[in-house]
Amino acid sequence: MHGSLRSRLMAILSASILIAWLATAGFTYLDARREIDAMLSAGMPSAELQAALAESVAAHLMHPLLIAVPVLGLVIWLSVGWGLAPLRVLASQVRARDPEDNAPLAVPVPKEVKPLVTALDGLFERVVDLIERERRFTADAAHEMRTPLAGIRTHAQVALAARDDDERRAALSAVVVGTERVAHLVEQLLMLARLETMPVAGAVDVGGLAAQMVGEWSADAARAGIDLGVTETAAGAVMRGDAHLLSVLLRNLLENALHYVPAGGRIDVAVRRDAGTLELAVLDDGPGIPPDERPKAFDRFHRGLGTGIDGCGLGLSIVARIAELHGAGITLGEGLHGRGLGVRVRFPV
Amino acid sequence: MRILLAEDDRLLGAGIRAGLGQAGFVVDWAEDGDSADAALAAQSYDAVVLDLGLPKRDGMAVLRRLRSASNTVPVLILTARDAIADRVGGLDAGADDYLVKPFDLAELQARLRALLRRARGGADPMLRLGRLAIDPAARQATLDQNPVELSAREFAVLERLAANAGRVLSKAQIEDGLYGWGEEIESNAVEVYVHHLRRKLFPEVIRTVRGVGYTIPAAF
Repeated sequence: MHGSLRSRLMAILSASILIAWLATAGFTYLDARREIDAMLSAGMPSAELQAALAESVAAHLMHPLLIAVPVLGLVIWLSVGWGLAPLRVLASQVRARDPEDNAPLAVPVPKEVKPLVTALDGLFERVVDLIERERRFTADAAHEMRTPLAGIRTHAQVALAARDDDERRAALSAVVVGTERVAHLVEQLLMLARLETMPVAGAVDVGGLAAQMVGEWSADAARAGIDLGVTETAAGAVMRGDAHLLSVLLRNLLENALHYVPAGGRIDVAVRRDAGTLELAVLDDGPGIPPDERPKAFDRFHRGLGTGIDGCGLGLSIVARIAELHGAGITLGEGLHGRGLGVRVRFPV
Repeated sequence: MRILLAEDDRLLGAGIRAGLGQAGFVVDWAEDGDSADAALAAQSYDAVVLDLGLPKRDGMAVLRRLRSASNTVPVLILTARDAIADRVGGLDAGADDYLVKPFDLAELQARLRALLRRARGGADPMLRLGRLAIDPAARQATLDQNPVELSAREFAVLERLAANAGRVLSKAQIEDGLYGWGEEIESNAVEVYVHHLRRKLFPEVIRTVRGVGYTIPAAF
């Protein structure tokens, strides 16, 4: 019944034309017969009869048009409505749908409409997926905000009730640490929010940028007992991009590496030019990320478990987003000497 | 009163430990689900403060294992997720109470006292034993309505014995309520505190059961 819209409409139209034609033909035939019989039996003079007959035949030839056209119109009007009924059912189903329902549409539809329904089903799944992702993000953000806030509040209350200066000072310095953590989280969240669109791109010397950033972080690295340096800079290689965003990308990678690499470790930054690409790599010999956990590392708020490292878990999400805005591919692999973590970002040039 | 705190966030964990310490609780702090499990298997606690989002083994799993082992210790869950489903799930898995982060420290302390009160089957927030009245919230004991000056440890010994009035507690059971992990247990300490309590209150307040331990009689 719902096989194809075309065959459905064809069947309806042929049937209604046939019915209308048969009805008018039958009616005209009977009506003309009756009138002509009446004329013949009235015994008119032959000249008069001839004129009357001609008149009657001509008039009856017009009848099908007068009757059939309106009848046909009415039948077509009704039958097109019936023929398109599946679309109305579909529309009302879509209208009444819960936005979070991802079940496929359960409506029998004509063949021509099938691709539309399949496309809609795909859209529903993506929308529900998106809603779910946003909800998880909000829940995670709530968790990440509330936990340090709870810590700050608790320490502040401990300070208020402290029995001596040492206890008060310890609690207040914990308040300061907690506040720094929330401030960092807010900065990272704002950064993610700002990364919705790409600012106007200019020419960036990535090697120069890497050297500059490593210089800025060298004091921190030295304090942590980590050997931080640049191995290659691909001198003179420029790419189109946003210098500020690229420095944020590099800063997050360096921050991560400095966070996780223990004292005595090493971090190398390298910029290499290959055919058509410019690769920025940050390699370390720290604990690394097990291969099965690497895909999750880019998720917002994902933090390696059991590492005992405080961070908000947004760094790599920001890195991934900036890479995406620059059309770059990003891979996580092994770092130095077959250990540690190596983050490689390949920009098209 | 000895509390197990299971919380993975170092800032918050340290804050809760300090805050509960101020309210006279002895706190053992486990930073992941596995160590919380191990602590609960090794030691008896008066109450547990359990964060639901623990690494290694999440809080719900710790709670379910605890209840399936027929451990009836009062459990208060901490959660940063305010969805009703999270709270209902925790309560249905056997928790006795919950708080949503960020919470008020005074409220956490009061809810723990309420849980402890319910666990010993009493409705009166004061522990009353004849001439003696003990207020766990104010950390204050009175004898014939007169306040008695007690050190924190002396109060803890008195509170533990009074909460178990009529039962004999061994020296080790009393020590459990005095020292958390990593605190050095002074030998003789319990004897010294009992001696002080008898002197400050009255000699018969605590009875020695030779070779077993100490008890406060259920009725004077």
